[in-house]
Amino acid sequence: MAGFFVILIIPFILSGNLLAETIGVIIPGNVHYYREIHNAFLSRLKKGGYNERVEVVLQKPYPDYISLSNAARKLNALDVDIILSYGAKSTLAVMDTKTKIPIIYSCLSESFAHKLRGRNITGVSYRLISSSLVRYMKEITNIKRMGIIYNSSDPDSVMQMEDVRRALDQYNVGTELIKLNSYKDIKKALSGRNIDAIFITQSPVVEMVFSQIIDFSRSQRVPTASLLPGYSGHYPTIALYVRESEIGERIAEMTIKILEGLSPDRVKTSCCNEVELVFNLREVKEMGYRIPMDLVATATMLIQ
Amino acid sequence: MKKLFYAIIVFLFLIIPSIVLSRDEILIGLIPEENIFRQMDRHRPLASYLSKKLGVNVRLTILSRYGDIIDSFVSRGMDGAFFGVFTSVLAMEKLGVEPVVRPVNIDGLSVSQAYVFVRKDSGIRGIRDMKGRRMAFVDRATATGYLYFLALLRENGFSDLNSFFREYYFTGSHDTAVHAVMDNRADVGIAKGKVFNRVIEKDPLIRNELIVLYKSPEFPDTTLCLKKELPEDIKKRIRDTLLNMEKDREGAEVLKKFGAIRFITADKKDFSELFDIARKAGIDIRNYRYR
Repeated sequence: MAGFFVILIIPFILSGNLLAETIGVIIPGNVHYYREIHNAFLSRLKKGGYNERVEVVLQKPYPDYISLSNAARKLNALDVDIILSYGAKSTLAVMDTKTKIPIIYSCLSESFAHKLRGRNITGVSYRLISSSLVRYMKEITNIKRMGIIYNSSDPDSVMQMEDVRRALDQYNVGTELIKLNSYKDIKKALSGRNIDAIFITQSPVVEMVFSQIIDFSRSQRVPTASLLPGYSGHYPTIALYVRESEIGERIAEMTIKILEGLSPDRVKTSCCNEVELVFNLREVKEMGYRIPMDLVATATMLIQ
Repeated sequence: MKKLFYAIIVFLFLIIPSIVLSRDEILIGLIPEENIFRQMDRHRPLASYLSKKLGVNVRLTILSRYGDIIDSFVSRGMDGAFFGVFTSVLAMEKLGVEPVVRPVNIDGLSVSQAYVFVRKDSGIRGIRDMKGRRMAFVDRATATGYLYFLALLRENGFSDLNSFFREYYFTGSHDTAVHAVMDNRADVGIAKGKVFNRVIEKDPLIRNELIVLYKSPEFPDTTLCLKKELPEDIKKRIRDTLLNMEKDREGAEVLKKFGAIRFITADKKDFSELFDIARKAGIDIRNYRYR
């Protein structure tokens, strides 16, 4: 009789497991680049037939530490099966909760990802060469002083800023650090700057005001280099970034492996390959600059 | 009478080249070994100089891809082309073209090498570290941008690119392959040493970022090959004009713009090293599908 009861209950337990898996997702600032990656993530899950099987709990906190911590704690309390964090700050906020829930990070640099330690953490990073962007910018205009927009409370944005500053030092180009820790400060941050080019680091706070930065650069005829692609008519002059679809698909594949029962420490971290180099020819022309043709030939995409 | 005599002499002097060549134009093809705009800038003065000296319009046509060169040579009715080392051999074998001259570069060399390079911070120090990485080739029809690496790989016991690399692709030009590695759009690159050095000369800081791991044997550099059917006297005049360019002031100026100090005679036996590399790469040149 007892055996019969066990046989009856097993299918219910299995089907319950199949339907109850929950993925908690943190998209700080609900920024465009992360959203595009997230859409690619969902498409890949759907393609694998997992959309019926998992529930996605999406958190879009403001990208400051308190809001990110609250979002992380909420996902912890919900006891989700996997936490997917976009960007460095949200990943740190999740890790700080000391959760045992598997964490998959994305959208952070390889050098920052190397610092993340934990048996329950894996993820996808990128390696973008900031010095290349500086080099390309120098081909467009003879820059003397470049402003670097970064978020001092985002460790990855700080690392990018330092990379760019090193590259500029090598080329004897002056640096002006433009600290942007709140999107509300953007006007103040950009006003009164004596710069002839802008470097935009990758950080949710910075991306929240991306369109304003591009508008400012247009009005001042100051070209922009960015590790973000831009969106809706607001594109930087030069962009070097990892294709959204690649990141989304990779984190989906990691998610599937963990859903299938693999422990996160056995899911190998990876670094994205599909790097886009985009020149905004239209913007360059409107600003009165010119991109040398041999540079145009190296681009993977052109905006005309 | 005397005036009429001189007028006839001048008239003959002007029309003789056209009579001798008895052609409307000579069409010379260029392979896209570097950025096509810069390449056109380099070759255009040479075409004008030849047009003037031969008395016939020498027109240049650039091919969009390396792989098109053999087919396009026939379909576009080309009389000759500045081929790379591998395309020279392919064209000699498949079309029967004859090597005529090749330039001696500013550095005094008329040979080229393939460089295999990586970013210094890539952690790659040899062939074995390249397994599972991303590779940027130039084109299947280049020795310095593809074939040499194939031979190197086979010598190290690997034969299948698909299983060796996580991903590989063709950039279409040598300088784009250098930029691809510089930007981390590829982990390993191969390109003509001359183009690699030119990129570094332009920006010496790149030297801090890239490292050359392998260099191929020296191959003859870009070679002007002419089609077999072109009349011998035309071939001779083209050859003689180019071989003597540095002797006249205008020619020397054109050579400078071209990036050479003079042209030297090219011969089929100059390409023996390439046949050896092709053998090591497991390639039968006559039947090689380069597209």
